[in-house]
Formats: sequence, structure tokens, C-alpha cells
Amino acid sequence: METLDLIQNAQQGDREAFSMLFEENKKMVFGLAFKYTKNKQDAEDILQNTFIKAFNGLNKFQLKKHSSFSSWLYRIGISCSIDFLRDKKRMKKSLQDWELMDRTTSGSSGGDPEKNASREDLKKKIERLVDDMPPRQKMAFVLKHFQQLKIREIAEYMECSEGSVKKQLFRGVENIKGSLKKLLWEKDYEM
Amino acid sequence: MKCEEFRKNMILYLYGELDKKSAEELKNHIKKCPDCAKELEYTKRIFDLVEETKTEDIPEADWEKCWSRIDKKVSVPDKKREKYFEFFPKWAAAAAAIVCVLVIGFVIGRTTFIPGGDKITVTGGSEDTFQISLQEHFDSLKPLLIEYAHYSEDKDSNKVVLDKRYVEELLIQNILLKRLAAGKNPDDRQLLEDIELILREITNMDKNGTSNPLMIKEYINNQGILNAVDVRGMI
Repeated sequence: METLDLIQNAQQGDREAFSMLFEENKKMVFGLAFKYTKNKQDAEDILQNTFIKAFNGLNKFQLKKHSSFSSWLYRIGISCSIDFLRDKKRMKKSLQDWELMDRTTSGSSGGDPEKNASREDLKKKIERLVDDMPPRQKMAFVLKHFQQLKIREIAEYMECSEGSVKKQLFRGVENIKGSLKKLLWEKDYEM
Repeated sequence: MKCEEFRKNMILYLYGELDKKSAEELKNHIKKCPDCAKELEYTKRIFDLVEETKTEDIPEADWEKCWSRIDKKVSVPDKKREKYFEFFPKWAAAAAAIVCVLVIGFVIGRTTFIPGGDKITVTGGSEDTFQISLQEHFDSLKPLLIEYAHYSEDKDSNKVVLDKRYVEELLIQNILLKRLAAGKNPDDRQLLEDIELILREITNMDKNGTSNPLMIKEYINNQGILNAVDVRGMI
């Protein structure tokens, strides 16, 4: 059955058709969520939320000549990922409010690891910096650097202007540059 | 153009998304400005490091488990759902507000005045602490679940209005406990997932803070959530 037929049937409430749409698109959504979260469990949660949201909004999806179901789903996946990160960040904040120790990030303290930073250390630091970016900035960064999308495509998926995407990317990159400057600049580019 | 402007364009240049004219201007500037040349080299180096952090190995998800959860949660067709959200009479607002006050008062009263229920002590470190907090969590949820499970259209009000912030706090607590339950007790995790869906339904479905009581009632009863919470609370 063609995707178009599957969508039409799913819009009539045919769950079998929807399950086939899930089969067709599951890897794409999971891949996006995994690149965003780097965690299988979280990516599975996002995958589920995306398809539940898609099912509930199926009737809003317009079957037009150029509208692609997978693009629409991708957009929902992005929005679910951003929501997920917001929840996670809020949860983290609540944990702090409850005076909980976040042991997972405590590795960043102690000693002066920057002095003898290896390439692996630098990569870990970058991962942490990307992880700590605000949700929309992180999404723009992931889509650009890990999914190699064009700024125009990112703007379309994130439903914002290209200028806004550029701003998010610029801030993200500047943040990383600023944080690593001490490590790299002084070491290799003595001024 | 100032160096600052050129530096903004460097990022777009490295993405290959700078227009030809600006790219030429940047290249010419770099030939004359050693600071900007260094900055470009440094930015490129950062890009290379970011590239190296790319996770190429995307694991396989547990597709069957994912689909079965999705399938379970989309069991109420959209049309039926829309029907639930039809017109709520305005006269019900006052009665709904009373229900709201009673529910919130009941929930706050339970968590504030029941001995041992006035502290949230989630450490994630010990099994004992986790067990206690899970019970406290279920205790906090029970009045809310009972309210929805016993909801009836015959009541004076056909609308349940809640303090969204309070429900959001319950949702955060639920998400946290779900993570702690992952890998420890699949039943707890499943129950917390079901509860999460209900809480999300309440917090997200309607921006005005109202939710669909009939659908939530149906879900609580079909999944036997109240019983599961009771049974879990007794352990």
C-alpha cells in the first residue's frame, strides 16, 4: 500500500495502517531522538510520544501534493524532543530544589583537568556543553552538526525563521569556543 | 565591515552556507587580519572536535515494546476524543471551581497532614528511600485518580479544573520515579508510565487547564490503575 493510502486509512482510524506508518518511519524518528538524547531509553520515550501525538493529530495533517508525512512526523519528533529536554531540565531543577546531589555531572569538578586535556577530554567537554544547551539551541545544533541539515531546513522543521536558527547556532558555537578557549587557544595559538 | 561581523560570518562560511560575495569578502579580510585568521582556524578546530563526538552507532530500539505501548495509548480514536471535548456549559464554571478547591484542598491536606507525608525525600541512592517515596507519590496521586475514576456526567459539574502547576509537579515527580524504577521493577515502571500519560493528558491537553475527564476516567478504569496503585501502596 502507498504511503498516501496508509495515511488516508489511518485518518479513518485504521490502526493497522498506522502501524505500517510506524514501521516506515520509526528508525528516522528514533535516530533523531537518539542523536538528541544519546540515551536509548529516552529516545524510545520520545519515539512513543511522537507517534502518539501524530496519531492524535492525524486529522490535522493535510494531504497536499508536496507535503510529506515524514517531514511532518520529523517536525513532531523535534517538538517532542524539545519538550522532553524541557521536562528533563525542569526535573533536574526540581532535584536541585529538593537538595539532591547530581552525581552524574560531578565529574567536571576537582583538580585542573584542563591543563593536560586530551582529545578525549575535549570531546567529553563538548558533549557536556552540547547537553547543557537550552532545548531549542541544542536542537538547532544537533540538526546542523549531527544531521547535516541546511539552515533553511532546520528553520522549516523548527518552525522559526532562518535568522533565529543562525542566532541559535552562533550562540551555541560561541559558547563552546568560549569554554574551550583556555584549553586550545593558549596551548596551540599563543597570542 | 568590522572583525566582529566577519567572525559571525565565519560560522556560516564553515557550514558552506555563506553567500559567494560575503565569502569572498571574508577570505580577503583573513589575508589581511591575522587575528581573524586565527579565529577561523580555531573555529574550524572546534567544528572538527564536534564532528568527532558524533554518535554513529544508533542502537536498535525495542520496536515491539515501543509499538505495543503506542498501540495501547492510542486506543481512543480521535473522533471519539473530539466528541468528549464538546461544549462545556458556562454555568458549570462556578461548580467546577468548587470541585477544584475541594480536590486541591484534599490533595494538599493529604500530603500536609498525614504523618510522614510532609516530606519529599527522594535520594535515588538507596532502595529503601525509593520504596518510601514511591508510596508517598501514590498517596499524593490517589485523590486525583479517585476524582477522575468516579467522575460522572450526572454531577452538577461536567468539568474538572485543577491547579496545573500542582499536576506538573506530580508529573515531574512521576518522571523521576519512573527513571529510578527502570530496570528495577518493570511493573512499577509500567504503572508509572500509565500515570505519566494521565498527568500529561491533564497538563497538556488544554491550555486553559481543563482536561477530558471522561477519557481519563476510561483510561484509569480500563487499565485498573487505581487498583494497581492501591496494591502497590500496600507493599
